[in-house]
Amino acid sequence: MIELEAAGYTYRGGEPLLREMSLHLPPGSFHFLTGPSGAGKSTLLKLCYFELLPTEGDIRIFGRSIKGMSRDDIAQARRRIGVVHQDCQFLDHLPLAENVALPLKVADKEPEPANLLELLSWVGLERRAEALPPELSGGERQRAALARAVVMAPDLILADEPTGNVDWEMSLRLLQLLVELNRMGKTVLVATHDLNLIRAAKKQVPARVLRIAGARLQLAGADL
Amino acid sequence: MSNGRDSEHRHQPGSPDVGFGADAPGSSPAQTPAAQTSPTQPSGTPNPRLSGASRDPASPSQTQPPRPPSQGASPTTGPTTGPAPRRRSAAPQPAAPRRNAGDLGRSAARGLRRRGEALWALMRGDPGADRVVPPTGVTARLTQLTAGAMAVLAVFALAVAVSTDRMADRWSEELARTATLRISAPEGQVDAQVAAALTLLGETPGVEGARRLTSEEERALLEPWFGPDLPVETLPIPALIEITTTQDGIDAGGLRARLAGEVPGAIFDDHTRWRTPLVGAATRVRTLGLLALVLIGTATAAMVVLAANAALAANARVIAALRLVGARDVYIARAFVRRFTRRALFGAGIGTATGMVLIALLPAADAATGVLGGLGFAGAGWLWPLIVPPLAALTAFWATRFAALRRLKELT
Repeated sequence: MIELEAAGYTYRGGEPLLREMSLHLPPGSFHFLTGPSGAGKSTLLKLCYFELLPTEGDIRIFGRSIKGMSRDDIAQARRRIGVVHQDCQFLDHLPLAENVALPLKVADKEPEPANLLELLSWVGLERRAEALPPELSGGERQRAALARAVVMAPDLILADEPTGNVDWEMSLRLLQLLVELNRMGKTVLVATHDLNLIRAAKKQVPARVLRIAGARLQLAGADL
Repeated sequence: MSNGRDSEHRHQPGSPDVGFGADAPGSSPAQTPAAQTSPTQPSGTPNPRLSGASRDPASPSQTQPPRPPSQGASPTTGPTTGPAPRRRSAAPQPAAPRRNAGDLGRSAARGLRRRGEALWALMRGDPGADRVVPPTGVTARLTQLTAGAMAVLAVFALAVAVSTDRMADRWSEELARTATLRISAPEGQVDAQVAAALTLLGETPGVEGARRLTSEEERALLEPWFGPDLPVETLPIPALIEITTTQDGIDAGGLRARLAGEVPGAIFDDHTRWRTPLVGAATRVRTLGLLALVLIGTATAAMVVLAANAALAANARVIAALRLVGARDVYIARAFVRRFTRRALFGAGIGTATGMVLIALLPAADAATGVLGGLGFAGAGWLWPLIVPPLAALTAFWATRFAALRRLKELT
């Protein structure tokens, strides 16, 4: 699903943030990505959905190297990747239902209202379909972001601090949704520094923990 | 990347699936998700795969078997977790059939049809696609206003170009086939010299007709300078003979030589002396009018590019969100292109109508207005301004498309 081959990233004019990262996430796996603030968790996720391109090494997603991909290829690949951002990145002028259906819209597909409502029900937002994003609470926004991330039935779910702005109960609810997705066969990679969330997840799924330290990727498993 | 160890792990239940070189001790057993995940989902949980539209046919199925380990692949030194990923089968592709002329023709027809459909989609609009970009009231109004103002100027420039073109043609054609014979003779000899001149002209090859101007016509010619009550008959005004030539023209040199011998008071004027600079001036004015049109088009394009860049910069967050969910550059650009094209078309339509009304209000051509009265359109020439709105829309289309696609590469 995702293969990093000695990939690294250095922001312009800065020190290397990520170095020689080799990683292979198989389909259907559940992984957490953790590390201190500024370690490069979000950067690694951005590499995984091509918002950033590696300054060294290579990344292969769905068996294809990033090096040979055009901008259209990247857009096509992103339709198979559901991304949940901490700030959700909604279009504030569109109602929630249209925001959730946006991946379908940009792929020139017409969303079926019944299916869309079913998806919103899955995240508990069926009554907020017509609400504008600024009217939603933090938890609702995160759940909506998750619904948008899965509306295209992606193979891979990437979540960047999805529980960063919500309380513990909402964190568990979001985790439950991610676990359900994983049980359906989706590959899930969650960047978080919330160890309690990771412990809660490991009780439900065989989640693995990756840690970024010293610009390199390490395995953290038994200690959590 | 997979290696042989991954393969072994899949066949050894209970062994750690996360292969960090030497797997970390205590790692929990791996689920081999693709193979082991039950298709049965938790009860009461809607399957997101059923939500929304159908699955992308290009996506690999979740029920595909795991990919066999790649042979000869270099070992992964970093974290390598679980079984190897599934890949799309690399089935051998059939050789591409040779394309003959018929195929190429059909391909070209398909391409044309696609372009036609795209143009039709652009014109009829796509409210859904447009909605992804929030409305920008001020930019929209300014774009329409500028397009309208430019269209008014374009209609004026077009009127100048068309009018001067018409004048140049008329002067060039009509004056080229006319000449004037002026006879200045002592009183009492004028009529005789006129008669001799008319006789001579009647025998001259290339002369289609010749007639003496009447007193009324002479008075009309002098009226702008001396007023209507000029007693032409009492003034020593030379007699004027209007000559119309055939298409082949006349031998001006030969005619002058004969006139010098037979009609000593006659001066032959074939209009060349003042016709040539007049036509040259009209041609230059026409060129200036066309240049003004080009400049107006360029200014419109530059204005649209600026406005589009401003709109793109203002919507950087929207664009990032669209890119995130898989929007292609063309899709994003389309929303801006359609918007600016329609604004330009609408604004230019209003501007063109306004310009046509203003041109229609210009005074008609007559002796009092002189050359200025001839500005404007005549007959089918009134159709010329109608090309301004489509041209403005076309300019806006390409300018926005160029600006959007270039800017999108910079933004994301």
